[in-house]
Amino acid sequence: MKPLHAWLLGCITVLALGCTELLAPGFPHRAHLTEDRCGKPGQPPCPSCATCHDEIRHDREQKRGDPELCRRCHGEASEELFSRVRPWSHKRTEIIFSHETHLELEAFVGQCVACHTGVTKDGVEGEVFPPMKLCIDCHDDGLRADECASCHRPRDLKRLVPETFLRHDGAFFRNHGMVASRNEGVCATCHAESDCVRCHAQGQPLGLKTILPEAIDRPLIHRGDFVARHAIEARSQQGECARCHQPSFCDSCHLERGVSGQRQGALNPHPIGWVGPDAGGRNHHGRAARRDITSCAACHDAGPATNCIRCHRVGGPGGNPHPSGWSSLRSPDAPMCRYCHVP
Amino acid sequence: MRPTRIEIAFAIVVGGSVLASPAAAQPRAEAGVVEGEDLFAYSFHVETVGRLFRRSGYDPRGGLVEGGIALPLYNFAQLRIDDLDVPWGDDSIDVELGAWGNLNLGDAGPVQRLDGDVQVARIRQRFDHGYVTIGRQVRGGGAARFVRFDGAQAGVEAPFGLGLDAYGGFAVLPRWNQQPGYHLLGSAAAELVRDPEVLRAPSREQHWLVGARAYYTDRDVIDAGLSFHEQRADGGVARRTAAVDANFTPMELFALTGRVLLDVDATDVSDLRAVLDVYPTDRVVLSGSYQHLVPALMLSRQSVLSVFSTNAFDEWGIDGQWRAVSWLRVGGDAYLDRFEGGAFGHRVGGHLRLSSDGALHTVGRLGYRRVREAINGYHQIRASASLRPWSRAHFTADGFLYLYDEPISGVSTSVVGVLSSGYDVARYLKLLVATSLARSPYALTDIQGTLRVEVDWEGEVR
Repeated sequence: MKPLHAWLLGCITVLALGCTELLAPGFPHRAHLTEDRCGKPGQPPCPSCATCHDEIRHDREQKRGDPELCRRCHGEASEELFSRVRPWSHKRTEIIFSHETHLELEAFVGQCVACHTGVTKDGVEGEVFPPMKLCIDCHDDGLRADECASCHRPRDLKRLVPETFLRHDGAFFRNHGMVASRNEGVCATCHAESDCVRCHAQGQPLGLKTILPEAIDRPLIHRGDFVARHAIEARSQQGECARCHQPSFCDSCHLERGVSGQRQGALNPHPIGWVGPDAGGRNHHGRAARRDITSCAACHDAGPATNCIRCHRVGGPGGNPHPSGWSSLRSPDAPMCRYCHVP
Repeated sequence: MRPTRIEIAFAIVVGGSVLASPAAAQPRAEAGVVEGEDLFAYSFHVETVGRLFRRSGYDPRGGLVEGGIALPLYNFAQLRIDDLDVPWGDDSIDVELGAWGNLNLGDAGPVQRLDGDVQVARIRQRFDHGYVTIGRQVRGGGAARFVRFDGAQAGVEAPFGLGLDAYGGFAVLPRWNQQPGYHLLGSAAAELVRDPEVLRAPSREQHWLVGARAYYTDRDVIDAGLSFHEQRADGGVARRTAAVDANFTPMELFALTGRVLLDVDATDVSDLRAVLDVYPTDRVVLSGSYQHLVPALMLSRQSVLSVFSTNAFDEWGIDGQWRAVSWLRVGGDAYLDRFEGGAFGHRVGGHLRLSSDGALHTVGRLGYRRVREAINGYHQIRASASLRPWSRAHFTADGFLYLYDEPISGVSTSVVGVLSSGYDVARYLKLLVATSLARSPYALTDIQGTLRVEVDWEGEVR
């Protein structure tokens, strides 16, 4: 079997295994709470949430209820029925919470569905865990103090992704920098500064896409065949590379691969007509440079040795590179200006 | 005597490897919580990643230069101590240390055999209405964008929701002991140049930055700030920027966030962003965004190319996610770019995400992306899945297929696949093995193997 075929087979197998699990049913809360024949003469008393889950007032581990309760109505079939039900979603985390205290509050009048809305919808098991914004409606004091550990266990905080407050969905990844500058205290509850640096500091020899191959939900931008398509990405989102990378970072790789303007005997990756008198030509470098000078900088940013200066300095054949209306507050005697404006 | 880069990198690699071993982790795990009064909370994370692949070089004149087997061993270590009690304030000091080291066993290729750097090393004193942080740290957002520096940062919250943050120090350069070329951020040039004397010896004193952000917030509806940042490189202005940022959330239904970055030296807007997030229901989030960017102004003002062109581009985008049911999410985004001169580009994508918290704890994703810019473009199809059949074990498969509009190095298609399996030996010790296979314009066949060992431990000292 070819390696490629083996990979495809592996992916299909994993997907197939995952899809079969989605078919497992959840507990039919609706049928038990609203459709049972109960409460009339000759019928058993109608069940409520407390019928099965009363123990949760004192013991939060008792989420599923006692299977013995099923036996009252289902008899011998209860064990088989119970085993067919998909276990309740634990989300692999817990919050510090007292059911007993909350159920005694006047606002809840002993009702579970005030928080666990949607529990009677068949097959919507995830809904039984109330959203965080429901907690915030009353407990916003802890949030204002950037204090998450009053509800969350510290060890859970690293694994949690907010779903209803400071949601990390939508365009959050793209705009998280603007959020972070305003909510640093909130971010710091879960994230260390070195977590920021692991993505934003480019001196590391290993990218997160290699370190975290299992994080398939994380929007790591350098995944897949990034090396091949990096030029497309750079041109598509001009200036985005420069948010994290200095031109010298790009050039260190280009030097090694012999496509940098700073390497002797380097290959010229540019098409015919790139340099020359035909400034209006389709392939002329001026057009590309005006569009995204940061791409040029990836190979040609070398201070006074920048090869663009040879033609574009004052009196050179390349003419004035500054666009019309260009201005600068710096002195004409600044060292960088003097690269071209030789007195 | 100050330790050299090699010595510090060696300490990180060896120390990290020892910490990441089960034998070292066990006694710490048993230490657990010390009873008594609360003194501080701590957590540390050590990550060792070993890789295996054959290194090959690309000859500029064409052809392939076969290399040897490479075995790089990468280490990352992070220590956090929070809410430390001191005589002048309970729970008022936070400490963070983060560093990486890399040891290249086997064929090291063009990079150094031993390398490393300190990411963060800072201590923060918190007060009732302010803080002071000293050491190696980061500053993000506003005019600063994202910078690392060795210095101090302080903030104060004034009455009526007003506040001020200020910072200053020496810009972090990726090396700290002034090896040739260390000032080239992330560059391997120092390793590539045969004669170190070719590179100018940098002066750390000429790389510094200062900045401040004044803000108003009512912690509910509005949050706005005005910031300034000046950064010097080799004694000259690298960046001199001012920014206005604001967030407006008048109701739960929507939030408006924006930032304008003004390059003071060029007297031009270098980056303008505005994002509108709308939450029509609990299951839907929509974002609309606009961006205006001048790429040349993203370069250091010490770069001669930064004054060559000030062409800009504008981008409009929408992004949406819909949680249809608890186990199904649908997402998509579309961005349209308009470049000066009339050219257009676009990026469009969408994905399905299926999940189940049942016995297998499954996640499946299927995505498509289309990118087109002025010269080239590609289609991407991605399929990925993860399973957690047992509480301690998980498996993932991640596959990518790329179809390029114009061939790259004569190749029109790329395929990349990654398989991983992890096992949590204990709550504080995790192992992961991964392999990847790729067929791309740069490799007929690229197979790599990865082994990762993680140690996580946290607790409180009382």
